[in-house]
Amino acid sequence: MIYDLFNEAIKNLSRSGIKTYLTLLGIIIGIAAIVSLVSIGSGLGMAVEQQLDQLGGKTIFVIPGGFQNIRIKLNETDISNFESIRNVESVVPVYSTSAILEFNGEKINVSVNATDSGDKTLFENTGFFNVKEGRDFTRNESGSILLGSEIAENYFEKKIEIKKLVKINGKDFRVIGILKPLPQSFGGGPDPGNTVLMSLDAFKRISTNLNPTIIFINATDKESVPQVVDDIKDYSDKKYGDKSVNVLSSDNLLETINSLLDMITMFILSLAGISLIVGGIGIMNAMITSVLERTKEIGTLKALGASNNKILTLILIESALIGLIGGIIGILLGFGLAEVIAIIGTQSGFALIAVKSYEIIFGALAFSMIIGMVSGFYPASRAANLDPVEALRYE
Amino acid sequence: MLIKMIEIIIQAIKNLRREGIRTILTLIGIVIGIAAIVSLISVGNGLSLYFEDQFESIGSNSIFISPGSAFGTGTGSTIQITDNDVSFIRNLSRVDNVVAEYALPATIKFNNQTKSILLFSVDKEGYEFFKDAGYIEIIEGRLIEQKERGTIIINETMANDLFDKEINLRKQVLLNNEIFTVVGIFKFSVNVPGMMPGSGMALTSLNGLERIYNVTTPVQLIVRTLTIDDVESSAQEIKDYFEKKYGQKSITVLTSDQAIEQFGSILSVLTLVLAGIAGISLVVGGVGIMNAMITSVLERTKEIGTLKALGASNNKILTLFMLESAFIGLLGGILGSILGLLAGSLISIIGSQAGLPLKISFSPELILGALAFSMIVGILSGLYPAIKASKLDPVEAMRYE
Amino acid sequence: MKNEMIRLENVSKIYTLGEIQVKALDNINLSICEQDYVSIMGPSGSGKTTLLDVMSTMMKPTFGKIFIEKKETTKMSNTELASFRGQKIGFIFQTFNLLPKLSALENVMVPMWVNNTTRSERITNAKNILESVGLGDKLQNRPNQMSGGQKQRVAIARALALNPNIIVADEPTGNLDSKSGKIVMDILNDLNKKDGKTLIIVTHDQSIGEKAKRKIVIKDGQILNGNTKVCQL
Repeated sequence: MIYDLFNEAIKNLSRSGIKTYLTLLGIIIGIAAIVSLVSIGSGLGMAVEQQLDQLGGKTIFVIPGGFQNIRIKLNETDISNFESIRNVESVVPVYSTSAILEFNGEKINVSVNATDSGDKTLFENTGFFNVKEGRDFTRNESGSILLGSEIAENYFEKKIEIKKLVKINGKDFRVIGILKPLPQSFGGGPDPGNTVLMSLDAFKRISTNLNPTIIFINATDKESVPQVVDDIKDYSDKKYGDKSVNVLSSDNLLETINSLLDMITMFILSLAGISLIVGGIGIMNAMITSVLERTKEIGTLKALGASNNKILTLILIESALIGLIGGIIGILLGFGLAEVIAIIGTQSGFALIAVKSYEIIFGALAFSMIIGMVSGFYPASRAANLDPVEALRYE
Repeated sequence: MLIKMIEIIIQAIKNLRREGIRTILTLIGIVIGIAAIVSLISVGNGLSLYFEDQFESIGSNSIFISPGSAFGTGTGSTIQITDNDVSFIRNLSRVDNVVAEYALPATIKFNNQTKSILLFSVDKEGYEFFKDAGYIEIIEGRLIEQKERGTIIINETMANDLFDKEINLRKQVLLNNEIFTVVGIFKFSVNVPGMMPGSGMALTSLNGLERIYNVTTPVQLIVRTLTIDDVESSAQEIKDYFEKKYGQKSITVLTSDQAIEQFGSILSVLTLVLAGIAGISLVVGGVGIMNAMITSVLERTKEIGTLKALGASNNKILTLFMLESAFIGLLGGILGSILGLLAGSLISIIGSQAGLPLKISFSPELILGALAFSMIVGILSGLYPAIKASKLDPVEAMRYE
Repeated sequence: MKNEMIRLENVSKIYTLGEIQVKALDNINLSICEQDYVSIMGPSGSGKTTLLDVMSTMMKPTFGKIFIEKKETTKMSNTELASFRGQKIGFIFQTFNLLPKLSALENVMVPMWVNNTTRSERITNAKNILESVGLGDKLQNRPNQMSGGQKQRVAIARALALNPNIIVADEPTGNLDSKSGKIVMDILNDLNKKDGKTLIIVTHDQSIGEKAKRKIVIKDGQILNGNTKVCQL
């Protein structure tokens, strides 16, 4: 029975020629727009997740004074106390200052980050600082620096290469390595591409500000992160007061960033969604016309024993099919468009990914079918309620 | 000739009325699309104007200085502007005055509630200037004195709306766990750039600020030059000074013109992108018009045949249908513009309740543009069906069943 | 005495056009029995079309009751009635009313949508019926590929799809040339004589009306020749 209705529906759709194609086009455009936007949007989210995943999910960011530099100075005691918290694998305090980097006669202001290279592997474990060229520190290198690639390649007239000498706040340093930039540093910490890295010994040569600006704490495993976070918070709240220290796990960070991204994506999506609404109206219009044109046919079907409900179902199936087919083509087009945007974006320096997940596909298909059915409802009920006698005699 | 045109137009209108609900549905597509675009652009324009106002009320002979390079292309930590730096600028020959602004987020506790606000302060000379220029209007109580360490003045929003209870004069609050006394309630008499209206603000002396903050360095310097002509040269002098001392990329120096420009262009791009996305619906609407016109042509085949038999030329038929679809576009544009303006006004009302500066700007150019655009959509969509209609063979058309 | 197929009891149909009331059917009492061959004739405006519509349950009367094979249809819900009608009555229209995008075979299969038969059973069934009206070679043709006479024969085949006992035809030869018209009438005749179906034809063509065994004449909403038989109940 349903099969027959389907058969009839498909035959009717293939009849109308250009009108069906135009109606389809409306849905295709709407779905394509939405799919491409969602695809790129999810890609952004994924990039952030990937970035934070590099950290292994075990890292906790401790920021004294919150984000606002309140009068709190964490010291050696605090660091050892953190180290002795249960399930803490390592504590890496990072010190920063702004300084003047001089190379080839030019002076540019840069941010300098340093950590105690007593155990250089700790540094790498944070996942932020990865050496692209050259090498990492070994112990006690008070005269070497790692340079972010942006600084090395774009800040100065001449490129700064490995083994070159530069001056920082008037003191000599040698560049031993170039740092890889992170595609999007969504506030998870310093952007390695734009920073200078050195050991604590080296840092002492240029600055006296020896209170850490951020402390990376690695838990032993992912499961203990919540407990470690709580312990850190308890300690700091007790010693320095409420909210004096910001403690964030990488999950927290991911959450915050994701919810921000989601909000933005939602807003843009609803704009794109307007086109879907217009497309749905187009379906409604086309179906009303179709019903009008087939008045006699519908009358005949009723005479032959089709109930009102069957007629309703028939028209609904047709409009749902339009939605479905439009959705399929729209998804293909949308993914294609997203790929193009991703390629253009990556050329221009933004690492964009076009995500093609099953969720997007199912979501778009469901959505387009729903639009089809909702739009078809009014014309379908018009058809269902046609008086058979009048319909048969319609001219 | 004109009369003929009018006749055709009347005919077109009659034809459209016949279709009833289908015409309405066709129209809705364009209406929605235009409404979305109009409302977005007018909100965008409004925002842009608002910020322009802000900068201009300070005077177009102003220079805005902040540490770090603009808009996040910069590095992690930023330089700290010292008192010496500020004195240097003050001493420049063409500089009238300098206001050093300090702003830091703080937690404020009152009546067992804790909220987050922005705590402001202004350096001594700047404060004098503020007072003399009348930027701060005291509604109740008095201004703070720079030498005081424990007093603040708060704005009306913070006094009345922020907490469940009103904060009256001489009440005490906890700022980052330090006690401060409210000595005055104020409001700004101009739009100070960077300060959002509708949010809670508290002002304290620099001494007060130092009680709770480690390092106090200005977030922004606002410099007024003697005349407008001095702005460019003074800005350059200041920039050179900072870059010599701290290196390039250490400071952002913007004249008010530059600030307006930069902000404006970012805002425009954003608005255009959003409007473009909303505009996709116009394309879909246009497709709908084409569909409706094709149906119309088909249904009136006999009629068209008859018209031709009675002497109407192919061009007349073409014109007739093009006018119809242009009219649909135009009508949609008019309704859409009205809807868009309404929607935009609604957004701005809701926005101001929430404390955002969403003013609305209705420019005649926008409306005219929207009307023209919608008509073009109508004309383009109607082109193919109109051509089909004009090419119908009269004999076949009249016998069409 | 034969079984009663259709019975109209005190049936009236009144249309309200603004302030005027038009009595299309005025207190009709009529019985049609098994294997009857009935023609309904009358001038235009006489109500013969309305009589057909009401008799075939396509339209509900304003007053009165209708019984099809002794079941009261005026009491049925629309959904029930649609299904009932589809199984009991086969329709043939002046304008054929085939579904334009379906082939002859598919057109005949349309009424079978309500059955629980398999697709291949339906195809076989439809094929047989089409062959019986001489269109075994036109199974895949669409209506626009057939002549008027052929189309009407497909319509007849469709009307026979569920093997109803009653066939109702509204001006079946109205749009046909005389040759095709004869072929169609012969088929209808056979349906009545050989297959024992009850046949009701509405026509304004005297030569066709004459051929029927029972001739009902209607004028101004009333049956003139009072040919209201009573069948075995």
